[in-house]
Amino acid sequence: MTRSQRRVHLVVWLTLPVVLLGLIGWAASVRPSVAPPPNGATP
Amino acid sequence: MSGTHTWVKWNKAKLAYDAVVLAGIVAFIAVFIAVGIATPAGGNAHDPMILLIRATAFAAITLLHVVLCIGPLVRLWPAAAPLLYNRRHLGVTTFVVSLAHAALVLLYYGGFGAQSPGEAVIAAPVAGSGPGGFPFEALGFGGLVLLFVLAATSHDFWNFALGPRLWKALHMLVYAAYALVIAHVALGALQSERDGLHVMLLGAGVAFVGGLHIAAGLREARRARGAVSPEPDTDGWIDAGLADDIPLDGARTLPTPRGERIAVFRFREGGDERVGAMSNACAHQGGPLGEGRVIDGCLTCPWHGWQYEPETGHSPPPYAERVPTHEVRVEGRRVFVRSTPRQTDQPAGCARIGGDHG
Repeated sequence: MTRSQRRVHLVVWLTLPVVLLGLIGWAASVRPSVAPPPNGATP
Repeated sequence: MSGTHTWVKWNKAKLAYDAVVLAGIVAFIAVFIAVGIATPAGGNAHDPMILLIRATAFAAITLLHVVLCIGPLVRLWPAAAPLLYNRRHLGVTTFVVSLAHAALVLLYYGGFGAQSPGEAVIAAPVAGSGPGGFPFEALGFGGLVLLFVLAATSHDFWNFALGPRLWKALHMLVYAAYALVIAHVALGALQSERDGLHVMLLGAGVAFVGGLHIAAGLREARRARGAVSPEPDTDGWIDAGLADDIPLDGARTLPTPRGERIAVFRFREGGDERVGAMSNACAHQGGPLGEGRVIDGCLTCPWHGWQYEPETGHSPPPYAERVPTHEVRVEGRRVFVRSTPRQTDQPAGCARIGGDHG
């Protein structure tokens, strides 16, 4: 692996996890809320 | 590449490996479904088809994480190198399990024929039918297409047809496939989960894969920075240090001032100790020969076991691969390596430690 290839890998792997973790966090925060069932039981 | 290349044949070890992987997947799916049925849940969560769809999804994403972890793990812990040997089998298995997941989804949500499979394939990726209203199917479909391309070109035939550099670049698409799969899960399955378990599992998976890659990358960068590149003398010889610093029947990596790397290796032949040097990049996939060992009289790549004869840099018959060699000379126990490689048809040979070249 050349020096420039190593640099590209490092940049990708410094940004990709941050982007994906951000996406997961955002996706979790916008999950549709569910109203409790009429009989009061927890889903 | 070489027109006389001989493919590595299917062998008992590969068959045993695939049998173990297959048995592992079947066991994983069986346990997943059994636990799913035994766990109290509402709605259609106990539907065997739903459980099978989820089980194949879990199996595929787990396999993808394993596949992605092997590379950096080997960089950090060379003893794990045997895991690389059949990594592509795991990659193809990931695609097959993903395909099974996609087929089950299309069949199930297509009402097993109520909607034609053709319509379902076209409609699903743009439907946006997920609980959050995201078109998450398109992301999964994109990931599946990329996994198909990778699986279809995984055989060494393509490595030699495209050349190792292009093949490697093509197979970097696995990271794009990974991003699409994570987005598919985050915007699809996670949207209908009430607890945080799945969010935590997915986040932990991404953090682990990312952390492993970053750790391996930083270590590689540190190693490259820390490696002193000795300046060659006017005749182009680089001082490679003492022979005793090269492990016997092993190798070390010598960086050149131009940023290239040379594998310098020491081995015993008859009653002699000899030292040789060749390009660090294996002809197969550019694996680091400087981290290899001398096995059965050949310098052996730690990635896939490709071998090169020390004197010539040629793979032993029937294989036809060649790696450029570098001239070596020994003064006392100090090793000097010529910075420029020889043509592959003009092998440099090795030097006897405590004696003259050749």
